[in-house]
Amino acid sequence: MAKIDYPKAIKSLEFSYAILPKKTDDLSKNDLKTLGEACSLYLKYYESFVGGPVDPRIEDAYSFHKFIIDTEIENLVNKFKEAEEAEKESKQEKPREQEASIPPELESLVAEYRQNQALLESEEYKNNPQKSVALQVKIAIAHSKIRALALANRERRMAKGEKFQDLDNVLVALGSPKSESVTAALSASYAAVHEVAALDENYTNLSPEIKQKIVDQAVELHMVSITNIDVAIQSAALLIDTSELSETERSKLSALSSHFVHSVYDEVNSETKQAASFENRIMENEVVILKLTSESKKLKGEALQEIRLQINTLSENNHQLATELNNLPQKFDTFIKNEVQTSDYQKFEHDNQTRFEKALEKDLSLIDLPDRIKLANKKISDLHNNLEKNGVNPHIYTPMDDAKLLEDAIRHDMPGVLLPHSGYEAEYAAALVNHPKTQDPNLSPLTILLFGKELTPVVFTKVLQFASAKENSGTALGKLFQTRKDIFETTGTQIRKISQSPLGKEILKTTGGLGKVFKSTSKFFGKISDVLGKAGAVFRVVSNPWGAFKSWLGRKIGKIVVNKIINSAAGKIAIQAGKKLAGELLKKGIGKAIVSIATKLGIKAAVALGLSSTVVGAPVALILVVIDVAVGVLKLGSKAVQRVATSIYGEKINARDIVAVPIAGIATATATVVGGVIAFFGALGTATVAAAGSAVAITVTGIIIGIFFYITSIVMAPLISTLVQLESTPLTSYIPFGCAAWPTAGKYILNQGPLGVSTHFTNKLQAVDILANENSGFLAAAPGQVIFSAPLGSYGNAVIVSATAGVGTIQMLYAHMNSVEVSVGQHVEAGDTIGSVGGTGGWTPHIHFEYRGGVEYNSCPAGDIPVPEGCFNNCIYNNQIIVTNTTTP
Amino acid sequence: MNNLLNTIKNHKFLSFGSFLIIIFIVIYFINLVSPSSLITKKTVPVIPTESTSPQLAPPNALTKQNLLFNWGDVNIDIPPIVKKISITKPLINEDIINFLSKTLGFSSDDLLKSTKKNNRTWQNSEGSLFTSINQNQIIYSSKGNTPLKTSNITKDEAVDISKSILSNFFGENILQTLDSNSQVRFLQYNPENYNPTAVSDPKTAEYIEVSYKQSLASYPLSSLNGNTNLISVVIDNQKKLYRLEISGGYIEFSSQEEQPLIDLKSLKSTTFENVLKISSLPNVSLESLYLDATDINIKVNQGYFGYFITSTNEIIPVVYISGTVTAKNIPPQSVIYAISVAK
Repeated sequence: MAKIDYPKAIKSLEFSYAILPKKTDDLSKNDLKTLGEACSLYLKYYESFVGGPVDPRIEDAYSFHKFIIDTEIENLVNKFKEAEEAEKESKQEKPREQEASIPPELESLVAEYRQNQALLESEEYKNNPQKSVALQVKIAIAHSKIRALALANRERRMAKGEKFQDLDNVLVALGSPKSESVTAALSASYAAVHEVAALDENYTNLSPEIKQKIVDQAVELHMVSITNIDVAIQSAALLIDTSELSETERSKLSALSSHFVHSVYDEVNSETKQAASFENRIMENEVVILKLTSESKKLKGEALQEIRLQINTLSENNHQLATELNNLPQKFDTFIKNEVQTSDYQKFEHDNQTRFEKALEKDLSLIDLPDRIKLANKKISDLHNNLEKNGVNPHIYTPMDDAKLLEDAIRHDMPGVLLPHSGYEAEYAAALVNHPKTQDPNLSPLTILLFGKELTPVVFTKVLQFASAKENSGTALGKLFQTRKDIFETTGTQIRKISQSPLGKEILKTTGGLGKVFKSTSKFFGKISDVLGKAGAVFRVVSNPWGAFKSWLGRKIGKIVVNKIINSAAGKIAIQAGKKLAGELLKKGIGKAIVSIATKLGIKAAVALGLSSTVVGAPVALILVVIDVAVGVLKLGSKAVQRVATSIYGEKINARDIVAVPIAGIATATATVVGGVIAFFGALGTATVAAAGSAVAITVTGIIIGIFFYITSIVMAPLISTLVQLESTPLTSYIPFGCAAWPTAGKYILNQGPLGVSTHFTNKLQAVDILANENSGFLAAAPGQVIFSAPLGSYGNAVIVSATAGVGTIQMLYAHMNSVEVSVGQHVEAGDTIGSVGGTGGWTPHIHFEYRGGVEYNSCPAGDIPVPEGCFNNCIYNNQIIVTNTTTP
Repeated sequence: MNNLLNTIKNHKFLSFGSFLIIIFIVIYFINLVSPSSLITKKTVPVIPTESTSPQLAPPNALTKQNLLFNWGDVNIDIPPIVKKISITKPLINEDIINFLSKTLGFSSDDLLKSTKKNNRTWQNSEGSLFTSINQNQIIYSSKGNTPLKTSNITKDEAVDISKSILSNFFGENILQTLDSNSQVRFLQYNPENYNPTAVSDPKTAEYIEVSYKQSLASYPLSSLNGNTNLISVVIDNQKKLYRLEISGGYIEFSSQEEQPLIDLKSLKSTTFENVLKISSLPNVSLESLYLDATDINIKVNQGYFGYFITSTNEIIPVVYISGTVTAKNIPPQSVIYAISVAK
């Protein structure tokens, strides 16, 4: 939309307002000009600014003069004034935003909130309060570590000259612009924490300074989604620095935390220490194994047997340590479930409740405390939404954020150890977990890329051995090892995880034939590029355009796929699914992980996404996809051909990409042939040169490979992209419940179930009635085709959709609407507005949602919420059902 | 290099290469077949068009039903000459809608966004107004006062109040178009049962509904609204407007040439394309049964000639018949149908 000159537009409209009382015959030329300008503004902006429909009769100055309603002009003027004000404000704020970066600790705060919230709202924790409280304690401990890493990241970046905005200022400016200070922005949290803390005598007995520390810390924990304020306070008490406190103060502070919170805190810390110890021992063992392996090459006979025995013992030991490391999460689960913990948890709950009830006896105003806590939770959610909306990029800081330092040091000290490029699969997988909503500290995209460059556990051990050797303390790796051991530890752990996973196998899959040639060429040039230092980065691309192209392709497709996945579902569901992606990648590999996540989100043809992820790596598979796509396109008919063609030559693949791809192909052909000859000379010596290295053979090879690359690259890149785009078309933009979505948004009473005794029993009607507000949106519960849309007896205005739901095709009938927004033959997606709630047919307004054709409602209940048969007036959840629409249909 | 050369010379590799080139040609061919489509970035959206020809029954999935008539001794008077009629000024129009919204106290701020053009909804703390040119419908719903325990509003008084309301909204001329036979129902709204219950004692009424047909060229005019009435005014027992529902109607019309008619008596059966069930069954459960029935028998008890107004303001000459329907699994029900008699 063109930029609007608000003062001018407002002036035009206000002038036209003054002309309205005139009779048509009295209008002057100037009047008509003014009215014309106002009319143009009205037609162009009324709908987008005011939200109401434009009067269809208004077309020109005359019709504007005749039909415009004065309030319509006023509304548009007011909206323009608001927009002008907002524009001014944003202009004032911009320079401040550009001056300095967002503080890392704020980015991590937002990311932690998103991640924790998704976790706490997952089925696993939502239905298990004991586990949920334990998790919140765990989150509190994790937060203190993440915050420390974010602060360390900030320090390092500041040392390089980067500037950061003040945390408090940016939090207010971007998160709660109407507040005057951080305290005001977080006032609801502060109030909730104060009120809950004040219920506990152990808190009231503390000194004011410690109280303040606890409150500040608890509010910070509340900001990372610890919505149980008791847990926030009790965890805060355990987290604050007690080193300078007296013994009495310490014991008072300790008394504030319940036994349950204490024991969970101790367990988490103990397990963290154990994990670190396991990792350390594994690393040490690996260094020794490597050393022994190297020594074993010089030995024979018994000495060799002995050393092999030692290697086996150490390997077995490492295997056990790795198993124990992997079992730690399960151990925590078992710990939480044990009888002592259950009893402690019950006491924790009981004590909290008793404190509240006692206080309530004295102060009745506390009756609303739960509501005030809910409000505080809502405010925190709003704050994070605003922060994200206003440009704070959520990111959880881990040592892996500095993994580039490790890569640079390896390339510097051990040239040729790493491949120049990560390869298609690694880039694809890394792109998948690089999205803000799929970040997982346990699987960094940088680690995946390093692994893709063949930083395998064995290679890593060599690196570690080099870095930890005293004689190398002056090298880049040695220095890094001394200053940033955390990078080595995290990299080692994650690389081990990847190497043992299906993902690792995919990334390092063995290639034969031409693949081997490419690899040896790649390694050859990789070594040169490493030696070249800074210029090496450019050389890596120039010398291996095919590798660079594959990496580019993987990165591009990864980005497309993850965006499709995340954008296909709304809000929390997408976040929850996104959070699982890293875990699924490790467990299942790229293809199956995408299928699994996409299926959870209801994305159509998830298999195709998986297919595109696994087949592209090998040249032969590339061709198979070409065939599949070509045949598929022919089968799909002309419309599909058009769609494919539009996608191929549309915006998704821009002109630069199209040009870049064949150039990469041709360059690759040349580089490969030359590289192949060089590798050949190096490997075979001169004896067979005459036989194999004839100029003709090289030329023919070059031409064939050139054609091969040209075809695969020019045809495949857009086709794969198209395949992904076509097949990943979102099934739904609404919350995709398992079988059918809820047919409205908001909080309403569900008043009658299937076979309900009021009006649903005569025909064993498989329908529910929801007492939604009149004129609220009536949303399609599943995608399908409208087969009826008209008044229908006592159904009133009704719509029947032949819908595809989780159990197959169902005729879904939506009744009593005031407005009907769809016509027969129209296709609707789940979540589309099909009408508005009404009482047509002679009823008080409500939603009647019915399954026809003998399909039982509870075989595919909307929103996955079964409704008791025969219920009337007291159906579920105390007569209440809460469904929150997180989309904007 | 030997390996490389061997691979290239290998029969499979050559076949493979040839295959590749064929595929490339196939794709190239596809590009040639539809050259214009390749550069088209925007596809034309397919928008379902709505039928503009007069149709009694809306296009739907229910036309599989057959209606079998048993006329018995019923004799229906059909006028010998019927003129084609066009509505020149419909009752539901933009001016009326704007006027209504203001008169009922809605401001532009109360206007909700609708995804469909010409559907508008105003909503505020007092009530809501839904208007639709597409559906030819106006529904006003007040949040309402708490009804008094007893009502002293008589039938005649209710009619007078409703007429006063209608003339305020549509001008006094509307009263001239109303069919003289208004229907009055004394009601109690019981939210637990959703639908209003008619009470026999007017004193116990919480609400009073007065319904009207319009009269068009001396014949009754109805629409598809659940009963044969076009206009329904519901007042509470404090005489305040509680609900207003209008489905179609006219302010002005013009008569044209003669409309040829079918011979109704010879109509033994018909599919649902030419027939519309005007009345509602007592509850949605029965409606559902009715929807599922393929053959419906109707014993006609009486009938009269009239006009039917569609959502697009088409006027169709019809015969309204009332009678008893029976079908598999449906207990006998009293219904009113409109049968198109236009040839």
